Amino acid sequence: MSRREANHAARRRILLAGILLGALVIVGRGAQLELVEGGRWAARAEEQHADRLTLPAPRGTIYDRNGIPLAASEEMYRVAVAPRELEDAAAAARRLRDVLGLSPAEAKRAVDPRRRWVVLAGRFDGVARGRLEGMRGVYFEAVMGRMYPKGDLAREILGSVSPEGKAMSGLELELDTLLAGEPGFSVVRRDARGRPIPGTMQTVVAPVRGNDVYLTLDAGLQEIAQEALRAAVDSTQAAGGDMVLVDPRTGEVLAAATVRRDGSRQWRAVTDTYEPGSTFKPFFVATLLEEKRARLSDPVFAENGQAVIDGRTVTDTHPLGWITLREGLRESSNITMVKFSSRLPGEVQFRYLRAFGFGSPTGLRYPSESAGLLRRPAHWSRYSQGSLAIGYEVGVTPLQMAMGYAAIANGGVLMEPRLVREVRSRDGRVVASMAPRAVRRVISEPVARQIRSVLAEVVEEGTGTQAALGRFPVAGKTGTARLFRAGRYESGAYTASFAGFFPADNPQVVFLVKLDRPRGAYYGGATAAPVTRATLAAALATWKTPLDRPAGARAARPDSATAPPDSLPAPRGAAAAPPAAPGPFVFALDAGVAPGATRLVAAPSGPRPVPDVAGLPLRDAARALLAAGFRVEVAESGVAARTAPPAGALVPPGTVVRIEPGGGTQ
Amino acid sequence: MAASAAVTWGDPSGRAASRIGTGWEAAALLLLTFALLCFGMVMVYSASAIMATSKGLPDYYFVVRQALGAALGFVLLVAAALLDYRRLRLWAWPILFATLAMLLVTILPGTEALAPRVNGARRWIGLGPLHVQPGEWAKFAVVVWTAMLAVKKQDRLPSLTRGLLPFLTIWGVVALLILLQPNLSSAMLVVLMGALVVFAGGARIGHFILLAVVGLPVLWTQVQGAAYRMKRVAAFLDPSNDATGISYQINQSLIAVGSGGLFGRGFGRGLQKFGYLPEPHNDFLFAMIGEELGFVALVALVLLYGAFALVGYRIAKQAPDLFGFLLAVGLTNLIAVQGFLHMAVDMALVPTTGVTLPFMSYGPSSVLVCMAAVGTLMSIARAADGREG
Repeated sequence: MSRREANHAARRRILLAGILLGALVIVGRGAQLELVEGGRWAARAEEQHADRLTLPAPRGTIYDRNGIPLAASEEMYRVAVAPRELEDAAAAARRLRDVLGLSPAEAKRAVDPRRRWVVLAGRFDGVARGRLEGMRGVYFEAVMGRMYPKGDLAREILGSVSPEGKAMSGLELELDTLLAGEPGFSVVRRDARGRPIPGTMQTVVAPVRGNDVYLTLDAGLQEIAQEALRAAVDSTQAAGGDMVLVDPRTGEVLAAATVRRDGSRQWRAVTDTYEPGSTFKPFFVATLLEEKRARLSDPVFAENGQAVIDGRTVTDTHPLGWITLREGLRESSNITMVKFSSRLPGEVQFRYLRAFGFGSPTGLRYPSESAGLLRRPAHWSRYSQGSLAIGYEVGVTPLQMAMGYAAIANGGVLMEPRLVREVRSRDGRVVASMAPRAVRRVISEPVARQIRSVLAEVVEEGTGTQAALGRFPVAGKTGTARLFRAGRYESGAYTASFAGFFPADNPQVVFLVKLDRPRGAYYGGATAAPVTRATLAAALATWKTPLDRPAGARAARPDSATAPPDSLPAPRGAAAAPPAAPGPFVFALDAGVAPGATRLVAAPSGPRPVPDVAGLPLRDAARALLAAGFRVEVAESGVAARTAPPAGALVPPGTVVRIEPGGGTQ
Repeated sequence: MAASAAVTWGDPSGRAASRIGTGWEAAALLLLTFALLCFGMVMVYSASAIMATSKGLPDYYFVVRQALGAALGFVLLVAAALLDYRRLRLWAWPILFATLAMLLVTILPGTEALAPRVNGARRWIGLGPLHVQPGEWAKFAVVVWTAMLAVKKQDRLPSLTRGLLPFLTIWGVVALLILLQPNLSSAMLVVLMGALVVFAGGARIGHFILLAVVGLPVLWTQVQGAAYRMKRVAAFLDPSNDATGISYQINQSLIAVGSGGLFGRGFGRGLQKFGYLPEPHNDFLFAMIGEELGFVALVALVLLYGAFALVGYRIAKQAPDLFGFLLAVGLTNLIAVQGFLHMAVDMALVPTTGVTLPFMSYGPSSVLVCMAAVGTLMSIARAADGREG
């Protein structure tokens, strides 16, 4: 009995010893894990919990020259659903469809309980987030989205930003280092499904917002240009078109529109080249004059429309006999140009074309800008000089053409084109300011003036009369170039273009309009020029900045009358602004005034009713008001809803009528 | 025996009061029990609040159920303490049969309404709001029954066929039923608890070695029979092999414990419970405690369970009879051995099996069984006081 008890006591001690030994082992293992290896395990824990969460930096805003935002960044949200956490899948699906506009199939997928985590496609704004806030099983992640307050306005130029916030093209890409800002980051702990654990987020580095960029573009003008070009492409059934408006004195690009039927969204005016045809002739004539190889009054026989020169047949659209060089340029005589081309050495012709900026980048700094194509004389054939004189055997971009015309308009000095005026940091500090930059003097002031006078005649009586603005001396040159494709000129395919500036005698705006493959009346004068007229008419109505007062005053000089009054289709006129009169200088359509010069609205008499322009596109509204003799101010672009003073009010002509946009479509 | 059975807490003679005064073991047990229960409740809240809310339940859902289990357990504890433990000798067979009946419910076809399949196993019987886990009760039943039979057959215990075979038969039946749920860890624990009682009763050590030699191949086939068990064993053998695959659970447990360091991340600040640690309120509760409260809490827990073992074995030593001795040893093991096993699993000292941390892990059935064990131990302590006094 006692032996058995002793045995039991021994067994008890063995068991107890075993348990206590186990306890010791546990403590030892714990010490090993938590004290000796603790750092290593903590590192592994950190590795699987902690996640660097990039805090996107808001991208800077891109404004037009007047501070109207064209592209801005906004916080958007990606939405994810944890279907198993939803309280009521059916109700949740309904709500997602309501608030986020999901399709029934998408909503069903989002609440499918077989899935753990569904990230919805697309991104949603703060309003949608607000409406879904607090719903169990719905999660948000903030991302930066690029907003375009003006819709499609200048989108081709602005370029694009990927949904991830990466600059993809256009100015966004070119100015990325300025716009992007510096993303910050925070550390967040994630659970095993990758969702952030509430209350564990710590911002380590706060994001720094990007700089704001102010462009040289004028939103109102840009809208007008886009509308006019779109209308022209539609009405001529063209494959596409480009329009560039430049301030010749500063090289600032005021508006630039590109339309392509295929819907592609690139600013082709700097990336694509074309053969300019007749619009190229002024550069050749300018070279002749500058080199004193010819004078505008030099006579030439235009062979009545057809001639064989150096074994090549050259034709003119309008047969002419004995004319002067001036008339040859005005009437766009190919024969005249080819004949005169022999007066210039090829080297000289090449040097001037290079000096006008052809065959080299303009200095704009824009992604994939094309330098164009201008071969060196060594590669020329015996036809090349003649071809170049009439705008063939050369590839130019619309912007190069505009800048070339700007040089003529600017007294012979070629400017560097500019798209950016200023860069400002978030706090308003000017980070960079781009001053106008002259590239070089190409021709002398007198030669430039001579060319301008011829170009003014083109619009008044030559091939470009359809561009005439009635009240405005527009100078320009039309061009119709056959399309060269696959080694030969395509029959029936043309590029119609019109390049020029206005006011003719003191140019403040240079324009270039080009239509690709217009159908029907393909001559430049018949297609491209009316677009210009439409654009300029609307532009002038709303224009405040570029046509400044001193310029207007100069425009009213008497020497600007270059054509006899009775030869004009419509009477036009100008009156000098009282030199002391402050305020903006506004041009307006007006009947019965002296031709050949701009005119200030001042005269005619008596109050008149303000026309009802509600519902009209801005361009038309402005035109209607101008026709009625009022000055126009535009509050916003879009569709005109009402005016101030209101329609029907009797006010004196010359009163500034303000066009205000409506909330909705009318 | 019958005479001492009449002694109760309510003994009007006044002798009982003096016995309580001298017997500090019962009070110590009660104190340890409450300490563990409260600590457990707090940690279960930390571990389960996130899980509860993510399932659409209030954050206190699991804690309230645990508290209800503890309250019911306290009634059971008092009842067991007031009861003369010797009555359990008579009730050993009925308790065993009742357990077997409950186990049958969990494995028979046609009873799914009572015992639904959860995560591939049928371990619970739902009786209205109560969820009874027969596997937990089986441990208690087997300890009581083994102690009873060991007393009866104490002279024959050294014999394999006449002594050990009957035990093996009954354990085998119980373990098999649990195995069919399937629940390997509980089945193994049942056999282990029974075997420790028989060992304390004087069975030959050689027989245990034999048992192990015969048992291991059986166990091996069982392990191979279920793919997930095989994976767990493989993961145990080499936890670093594939951190995201089969050894995921044990690695997460090690990361939890290890990253706790000396003082832990702080209460409620654990990160492993966010989906990394499987069952942070149950099988891996200790890992979560290690993460949030560190090595300090580990030592505290070892001290608590160690103290429980010392007090329990002291009660066993002072037990007035062999049944009391064996019962005390078995019930103390039920708490202490299970507790240390749980910690060992969470620190990858033994293969990953589902062992609850007594009094602490979420599971009202487990809490009830542990409380019943404490009550019984107190009853034995009281009887010991009676004999000595």
